[in-house]
Amino acid sequence: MSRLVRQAALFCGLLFFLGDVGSAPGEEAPPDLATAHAQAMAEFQAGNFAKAATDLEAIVARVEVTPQVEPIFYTIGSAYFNAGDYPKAIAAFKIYQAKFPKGPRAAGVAFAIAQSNLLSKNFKEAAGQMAALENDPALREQALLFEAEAFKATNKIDDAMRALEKLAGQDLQTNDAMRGATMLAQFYAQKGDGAKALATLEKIHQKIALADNIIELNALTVDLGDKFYNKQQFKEALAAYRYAYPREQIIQLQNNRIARMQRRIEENLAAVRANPSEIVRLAPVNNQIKEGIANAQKLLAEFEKLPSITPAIYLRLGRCFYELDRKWEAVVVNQEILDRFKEGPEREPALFGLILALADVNQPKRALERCEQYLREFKSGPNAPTVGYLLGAVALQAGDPQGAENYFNRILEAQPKSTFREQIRYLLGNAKFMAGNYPEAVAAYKNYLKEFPKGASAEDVNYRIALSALFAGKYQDAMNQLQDYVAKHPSGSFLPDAKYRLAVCKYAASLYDEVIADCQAWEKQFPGNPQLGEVLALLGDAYAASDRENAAIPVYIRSYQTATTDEVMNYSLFAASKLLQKAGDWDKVSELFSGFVKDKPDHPTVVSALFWIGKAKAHDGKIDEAKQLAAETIKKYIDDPKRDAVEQLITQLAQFCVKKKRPAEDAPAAVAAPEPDPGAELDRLLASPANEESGTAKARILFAKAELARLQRRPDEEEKYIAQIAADFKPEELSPLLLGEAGDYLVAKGKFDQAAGFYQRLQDDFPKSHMIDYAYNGLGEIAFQKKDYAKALRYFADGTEKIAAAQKLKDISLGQAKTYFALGKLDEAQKAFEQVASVREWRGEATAFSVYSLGQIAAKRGKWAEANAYYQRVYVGYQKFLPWVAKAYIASGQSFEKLNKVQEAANTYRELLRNEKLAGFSEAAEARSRLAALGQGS
Amino acid sequence: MHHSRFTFGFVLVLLLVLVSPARAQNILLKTGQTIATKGVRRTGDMVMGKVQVGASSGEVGYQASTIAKIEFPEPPQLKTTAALLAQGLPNKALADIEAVVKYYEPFRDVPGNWWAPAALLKVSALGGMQLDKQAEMLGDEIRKSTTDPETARAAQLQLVAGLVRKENYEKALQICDAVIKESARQEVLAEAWVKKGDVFLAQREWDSAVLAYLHVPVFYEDEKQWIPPALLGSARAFRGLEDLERAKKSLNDLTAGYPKSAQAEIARAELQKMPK
Repeated sequence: MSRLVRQAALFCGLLFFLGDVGSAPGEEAPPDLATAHAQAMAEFQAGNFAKAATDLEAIVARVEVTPQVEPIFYTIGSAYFNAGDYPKAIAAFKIYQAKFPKGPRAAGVAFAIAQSNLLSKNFKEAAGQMAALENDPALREQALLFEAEAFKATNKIDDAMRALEKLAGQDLQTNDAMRGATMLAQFYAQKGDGAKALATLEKIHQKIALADNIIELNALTVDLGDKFYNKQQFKEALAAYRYAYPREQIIQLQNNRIARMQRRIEENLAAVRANPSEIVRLAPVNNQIKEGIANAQKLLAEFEKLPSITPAIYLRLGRCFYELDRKWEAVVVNQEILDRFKEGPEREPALFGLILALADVNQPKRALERCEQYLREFKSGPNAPTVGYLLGAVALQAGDPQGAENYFNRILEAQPKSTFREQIRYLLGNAKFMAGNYPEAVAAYKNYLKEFPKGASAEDVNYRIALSALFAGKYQDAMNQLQDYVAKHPSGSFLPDAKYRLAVCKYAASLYDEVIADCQAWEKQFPGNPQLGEVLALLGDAYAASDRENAAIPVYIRSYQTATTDEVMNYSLFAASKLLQKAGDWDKVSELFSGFVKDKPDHPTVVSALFWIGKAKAHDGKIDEAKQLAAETIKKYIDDPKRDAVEQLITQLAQFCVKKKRPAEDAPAAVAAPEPDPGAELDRLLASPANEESGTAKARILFAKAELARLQRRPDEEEKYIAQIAADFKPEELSPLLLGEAGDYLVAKGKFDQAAGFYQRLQDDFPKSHMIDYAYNGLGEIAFQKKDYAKALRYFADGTEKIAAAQKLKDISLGQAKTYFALGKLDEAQKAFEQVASVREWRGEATAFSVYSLGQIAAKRGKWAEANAYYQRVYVGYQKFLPWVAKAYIASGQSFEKLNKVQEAANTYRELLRNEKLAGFSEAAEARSRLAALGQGS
Repeated sequence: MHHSRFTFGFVLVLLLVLVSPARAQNILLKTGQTIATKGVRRTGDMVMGKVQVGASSGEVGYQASTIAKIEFPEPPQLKTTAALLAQGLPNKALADIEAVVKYYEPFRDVPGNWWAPAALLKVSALGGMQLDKQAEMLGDEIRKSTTDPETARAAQLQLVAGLVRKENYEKALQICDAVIKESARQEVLAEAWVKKGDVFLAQREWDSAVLAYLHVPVFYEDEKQWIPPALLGSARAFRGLEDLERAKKSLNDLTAGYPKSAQAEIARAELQKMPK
């Protein structure tokens, strides 16, 4: 029931007081006024508004115009309005205005006229009339809203926005203000004023309970986001989409709204119970609320039948994140769509978006899995050709050329008309090239040229064919092809590289003079080319190889100075140094590295350079200068744990301090100055007030003392200092080497948890350090000691495969071998121990351990003779390593026993007991006990 | 335009005076009877209610099993403690909530009590103070006694830190995944993703950790309490992935957006140590 009906019903009682003006004589007597009015109002309530209007007009024609009939005039206008006859409604309301200019409904009538004009599309009049009502507090909000609609209809957006800003500029308190805010947000978005649109949207969502139709509001929010997205305002689009509610939340909000309305009905009923006279006022209100509930329930039911809006919103979020270069977030969102929504049109674009984002964040393995999934689920999907191409491209990105090759071949077969066919053919060649399979790479490149002779990568392919010959070691072929390339592409993009490679081919052919001439010509032809450092390094090599070392040195120096990569820079710098050392020119070595320090004072190689300067000075007998230089350098960097070459300098300084000065040849022995105490000298050299506050500096000074003790062969003292570092300093104060040393010390003492803290720090903060091996080995060892073999194996395997350990490769290899053995993986263990035992440089305790373990493996397999041979190798070949010798004797004796060679077993036990060095080992007691058991005790 | 029908005039807005939550602790019996009390206490199986009759007052006892609910007002500490936790002040949070937990302890079996949500906050405070053992024990107690599945899930998540410490990652992930699958409460879900990130971080599975942590700012950005740990965790994971730029960005977002959180302080220290 509308409010109009309610009020009309209330007017009924008033008519009993009206006087009838009477009917003309001879006419059929009309019904009495009260009856006529009741009938008219019945028509009104039945929704027959036109009939009601004419009936009421007939009534007013019969009555005197008095204040009592004022409601009837109003109802006539309302009836025409409800009948949709706006011109008549306007006319009726104007009659009301003429007869009751100050009537109680005068304001409502003015509003009704304005609204009728609006609905009649008389927008100009409507806007003006609504504006006039802005100051009526009761009508202000609706007037502003309709005014805005009138302006909008005439495309006066700025005027509409002004009206809406008056309506929704402050806090939203009413449904009309909420409607106004929603419209305003759209206008802002249309105008590209993202900040204001989003601020309005935020206000709307803070008062979401005021929204009549949350579903519609949500759709508008998404639409707003789309507007921003289409204008490439991705940040604003993202913010708008974030305001959109997922399906579950909309259902919850709508249910909350229905519940609120139901509560209002109950509250009204309670009020009626308390005061029955309220029924006249509250019954129609409740009816209206019920209508609202029915509408809300209908909307909700329809919404629930629709597919979920959530994945569509997420998809948009994902795209915004991607465009904003927040690729990880794009991965999260797209993955969520795939995980949560097993069906729906969003899956395909989400999966595709996920693949792109994963490739961008360098997650090739995950990207490959998703590519495979795409081609399984959407074989003919709109992005299938791209995904097919990406499959191989991502494998290449992952450094898996073999996999890439397989994928590319598969896609060429599965999608022969792929739009990416040309790129796939090109990358297929690159995959083989990367894999070092040059003959096949050449074949693949030739296929490309056959199919796409004028393809975008034709020049590149031609050049790569030439490079393939070069890298395959076919220098003559390479030279021919490179010369061919140079001839065909005189302005080619690979011309500088081609000419450099030609010179490399000539160097391989020992044509040094030609190389020199070519490199000099290259520099003239390509001055300032970033490859110059490399070319000069080759020129230096050519001079050096043709015994023109004096010419090579300055060229190497120029090379390091112009190099654009650390690799070339270091190569040339140290190549120059090597030649100077060979010539015994230590002054120049010092000068070379001094020049480097001057040129690149912030380069990480500076500390190494200073090491060499010190070495050069020491070589020239300038020990004090060398010490001073080393000490000054150490003090400069001593409190920075990231400068991991400081320890190298500390070792150097310790060496200088223990080095005895050569007495001057002409000095008499009696007057030779006494040698200073190395410890005191080290303290003096490293003393600095600045170092007293720094934990890193203090720890390094202890390390310097430990190094001194090591050089002086005082292992107890050395261990004491390392123990002090492990005990007194936090991991974050230590450099990579000290973290490793402290960790190793603690592991040796069985303090695994404390050690793990040092190794973790090393692993987390210095992943690129040369000392990183310590972490992998230490953490693997801790896991091994805790019998978590799977974890131990992971660390040891990462140590060999992921970080390519060098410092601790022996320990890591041994760790891996012993872990395989502990896991019962005998084949793997055997292979690993054999490998350790075969490395000549590792000969020593690691070999003894490995050979003994190989015996253990054979014993596990019941191959006692074979096992025994290994054990015998240990106690014969590695006598220096007593613990292994003792173990090997016992194991050998037991092997003899297993082989029923009792006498040999007894002899072996006796041999152990005869070795005095083994008397203190527990194996000695075990040997005695075995002898007794064999009946051969003493 | 949506004006199918003229709605003239204006609606009288009824300003209903909302009754503020009763300070009294009404006992609702299973019979439907309500007893207005001025306070309750527990003694054995009985709940004693202080009632006012005329000018005098006395205590009336009811078997706990006959009570449908006691209308306890919501303790304000639930909000203040949560705010203290969000500021990274677990010690103060613990002091704030302790009395509430203690007060409701005897009413744990009576519907309407606030023990479980208060105890859950205590668990968070204990966790923040690195008292994981105590947190786990209390979490376990909540899980066993609560009838609210969401509270049980939140309590279950408190086990994760201990499992990570024991390197029982599989079990820890199972708990997180079950909560993520079953929960409908945003703050519980946000916590579950943070914990899941922690599990991956401990295993140095950087990419999985990043993906888990980022669920929080992406999908639960209103759960402010969980954004700082998610940002800090993601920064560490990015660092593990050697994406230093992104790691710095996460740390900067954390210090700028949540400067007073405990994690912001750690972030500032970690930023200092980042290569320039």
